[in-house]
Amino acid sequence: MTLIRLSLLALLLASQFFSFSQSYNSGIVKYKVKNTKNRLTDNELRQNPRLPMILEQLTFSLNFIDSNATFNLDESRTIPPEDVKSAEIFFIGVSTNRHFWQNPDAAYRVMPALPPFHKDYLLVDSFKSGRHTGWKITNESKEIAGYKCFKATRDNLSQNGSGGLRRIPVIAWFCPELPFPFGPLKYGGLPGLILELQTNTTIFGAKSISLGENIAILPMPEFELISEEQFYRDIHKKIMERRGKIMPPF
Amino acid sequence: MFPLVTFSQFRIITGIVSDESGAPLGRANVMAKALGEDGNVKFAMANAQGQYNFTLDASKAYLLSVSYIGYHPDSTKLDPSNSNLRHDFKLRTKNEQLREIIIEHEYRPVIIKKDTIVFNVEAFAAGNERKLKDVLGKLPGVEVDRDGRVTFNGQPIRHMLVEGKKFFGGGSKLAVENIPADALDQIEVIDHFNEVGFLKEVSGTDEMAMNVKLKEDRKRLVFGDLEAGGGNGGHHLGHAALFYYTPAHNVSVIGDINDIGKSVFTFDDMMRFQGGVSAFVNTNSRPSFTNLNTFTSDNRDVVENRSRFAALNFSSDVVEKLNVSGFAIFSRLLTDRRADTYIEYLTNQGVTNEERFAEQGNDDLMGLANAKLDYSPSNTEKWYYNAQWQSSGNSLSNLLNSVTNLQNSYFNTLSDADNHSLKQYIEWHKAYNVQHTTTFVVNHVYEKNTPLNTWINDQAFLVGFIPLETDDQYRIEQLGRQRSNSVDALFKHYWVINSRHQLHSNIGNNFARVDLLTSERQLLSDGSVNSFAEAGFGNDVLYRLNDAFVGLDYKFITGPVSNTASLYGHWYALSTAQTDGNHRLSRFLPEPTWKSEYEIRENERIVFDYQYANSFPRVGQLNSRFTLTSYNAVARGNALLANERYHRSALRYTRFTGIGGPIANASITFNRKVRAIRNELQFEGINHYSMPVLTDNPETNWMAYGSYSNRVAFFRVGGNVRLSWFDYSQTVNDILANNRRTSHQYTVNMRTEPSDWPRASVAYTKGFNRFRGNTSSRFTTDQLDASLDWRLLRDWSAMAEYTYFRNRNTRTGLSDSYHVANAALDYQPEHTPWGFRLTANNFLDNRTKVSNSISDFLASEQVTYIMPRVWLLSVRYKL
Repeated sequence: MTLIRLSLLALLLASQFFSFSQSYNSGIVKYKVKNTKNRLTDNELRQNPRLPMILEQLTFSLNFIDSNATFNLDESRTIPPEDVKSAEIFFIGVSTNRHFWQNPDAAYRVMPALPPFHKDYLLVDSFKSGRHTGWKITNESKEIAGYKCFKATRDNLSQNGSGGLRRIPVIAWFCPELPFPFGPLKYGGLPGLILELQTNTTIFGAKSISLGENIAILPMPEFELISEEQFYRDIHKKIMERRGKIMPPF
Repeated sequence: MFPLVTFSQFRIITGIVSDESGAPLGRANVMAKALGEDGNVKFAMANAQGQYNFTLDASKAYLLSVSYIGYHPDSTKLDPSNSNLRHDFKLRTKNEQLREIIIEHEYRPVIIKKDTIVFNVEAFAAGNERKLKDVLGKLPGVEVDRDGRVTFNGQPIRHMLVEGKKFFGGGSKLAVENIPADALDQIEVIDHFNEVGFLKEVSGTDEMAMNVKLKEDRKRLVFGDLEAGGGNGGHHLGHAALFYYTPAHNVSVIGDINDIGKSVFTFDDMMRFQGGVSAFVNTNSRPSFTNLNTFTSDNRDVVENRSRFAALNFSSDVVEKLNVSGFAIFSRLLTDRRADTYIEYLTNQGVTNEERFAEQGNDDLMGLANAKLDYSPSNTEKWYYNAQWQSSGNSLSNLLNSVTNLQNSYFNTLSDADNHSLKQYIEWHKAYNVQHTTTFVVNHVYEKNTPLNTWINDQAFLVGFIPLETDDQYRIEQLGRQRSNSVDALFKHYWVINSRHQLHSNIGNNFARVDLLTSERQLLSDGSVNSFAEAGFGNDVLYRLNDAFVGLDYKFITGPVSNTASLYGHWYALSTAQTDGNHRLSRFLPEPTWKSEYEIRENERIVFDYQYANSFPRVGQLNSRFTLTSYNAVARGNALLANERYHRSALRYTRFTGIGGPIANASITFNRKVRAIRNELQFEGINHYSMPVLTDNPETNWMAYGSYSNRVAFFRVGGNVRLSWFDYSQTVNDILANNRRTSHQYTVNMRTEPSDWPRASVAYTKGFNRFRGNTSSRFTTDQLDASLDWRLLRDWSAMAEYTYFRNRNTRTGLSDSYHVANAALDYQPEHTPWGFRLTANNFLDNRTKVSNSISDFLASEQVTYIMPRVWLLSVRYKL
């Protein structure tokens, strides 16, 4: 055991000594959130006025190494789990106690065995095409903590419970100097790390970046891959078949 | 497709990003920024070996730069060049141990404007689409109908742009049917569109625009297609659509020759060409003589139709900040018509009947050219100058046999009308800061119309109405000349007080001067002339109308409702000078309007508007001497007329929930003229004489429309109801009658919805038309429409449509019906530029169509002779 420890230490020292190449290929980014909904007529806000404050205390982590990354909500010791749950649903729109996985082409998340399907799926949301219009990189730029960031926008297309079309605009500010094509939730695939992300309900902001960490990411489970588009089309079909009023979870 | 020029229009830049020692920096992001205003940024991500590549425009200069955490950034300037280039970046290490980066930035959410949605074509298209029309059908929320009209979420797209510039004036049919699918990169849908970007906040319209962006390497090519076909009876068709695009200059040409009655552009496109008048001027007060209607619809309700059409559209960035664009159209249309009409004159003298058998040949020639200069000295200032010249010559020859129980006469009517017009306007817009913007517009229109009409008959007509001298053959000639000049000026100031309140101030003046000359005479067979001037015919009118106005618009938002309250004050001055005397009228009239828009939720809204306004008579209503208007009608104006006053109000509801959801639409419109100008008629048999009078008898018009459709299994099922009631009073033969015209139409329809199914639709409409006054008349109609659009196999598609119409006169019990069917079969093999189409129009070879109409004083049924069966085989070649 000691031998292994010693050799690891030697390796670590050696890597420091020989670290002429500072190409960081791993790191952890921490994000904080704020809500963007400010319509005071919102039922949800009235029901639980503590929601914005709960949101303030949540922290999210984006862990990446080489071409893989995971995004998840950090565990909290101070907020009761039910409050965390309601904050997620109302403001983030999706339960984040599960992981999102990303590689430069797509984002993945687990859709557990729930009605109407009774099987675990791994949902693939490709950055190139899917239930969205694709990223459009604009000329606008701004500085975040001294890093020059550019703005990219895209519209997410979804169907509400009665089958109507909804489009949700998303704005992402990415920084080409940070060569990590990842970001919060299922957004990534941009030429640079996303430091700020705004959806119609929340805004994610990166608060700290720790590079070169020795991290290990949770591997993706080996469930059947299905594209987001296909999955929601199947759900919609089942709904139409049953003519019920089931709301899809997202 | 082939590049038109010998050197390439784009170049490839590659290289490796590494550190000083040569070790590659994987996933480095390289940025290429086009130099100059509006420089676009493009990114390329290096692979794990540090290799990157870009495809860039050869004519632009770029700044190529790379930054990588822990290293000093590096950049290089690329001059315009056609050759590919290799550039490696060797980054120097920044001597800092960067482990933890703390970001103190305060993140603030912004309001995401939902006005623009961008579709990446690649994400939605399958790759086998031919034209823009096919790709649009694949975008969620977008629908294209048979006439090339595009809607997004149920709302019509009113402006079509390519690379930010209007395509043929902005109409959609020409664009969707001609732009090739493989040249498309992105499609943007823009709501609250205003051509002047910085005016959107203050003067955003309700209109939607669609902007098509082309692929980088399709920006400099010639593309398009050619089509030629021949069929039975010498029928032929030739069509060419060619496009040349570069980011700075583009030209498109469309040519068409056909004799099967196929139209080249739609009614909406035509409204655009009628333009040449600034959008800030009220076009309702400036009617035009040129009738472009003849060029717009598929016209197979004629016996023969030969059309030649050519159109050119160009746009050029002449120097920086200045763009010149325009379009030109040339068209010649030769048509032959035949129709039999059965008329019942609804006068209190009992029922008079007339049967008319008519044959008419039209020769319509039109030339139109439009040029526009667009100068933007800065991002917040814009100048537009637009000039449009239009010339048309319409001549017709009509042979008419009019049969009543008293007589049977043959008329030959010849008509030649030349019309020339020049319209121009200048617009200046400037945004001073976020709160203040101004607009100044001057619009000028000059029109000249010279009609020459001749009526030839072997028997006397309009006896007692016109001073005929007995002759063997009667020949009446009417000469006319109308010249009008109008100048409209408007200055507008927009003040954005805050995000919920805006105040717009307006001041302006509209001036119109028209001179009208008419004269009638009889050409006797011995060569002498019998002038009608002594009998009170012939006019020489100088008309002037001036409208000086001041107005305020107050826009405010209360909760979810946005409102606009406006009050305008007009000083109107109308004067006429004619042989019988001069008249003058001047009034100060306030005109309020109100508009409220409540967006209940996305895709569901209610709009309410109300207006109280005035309308002044036109020169043709004020001439105090007689003119001949038809073989059985004489008219005169009334110099004592004053303005009409009316209230107008509408309530509209729309709801669209997209694919698979209900779509609902309802509207109620109310129109009430409290003072109206209406024609007083005097009848004698089929001849009548009319004169307009100002009346305080109100005219009321109600219209209600509702439609609903929803998805049921694989179909979209729905229906709509259209109702209208029009109450007005009219004096006929000195007796005042209160009339009511009603029209009710009920439709049920059904069509297939899934996009992978063939598109089939069927609709049935039942209509009731009724007139009630001192006499009454009623028609009921039944109509069945069915259509099918089917992609049979990968390369084959078929289309068919069928219409059945039946008309029944409730009073007489007689009914008439017809049916028409068209079909086409198309073969377009993949990967070849050739395509084939077999068309059969009216393949049931039905020869006639029936229709009915009710006007102020008559009810008629018409049998129109239509184009018989046409087979056509055509071949297409795609460039």
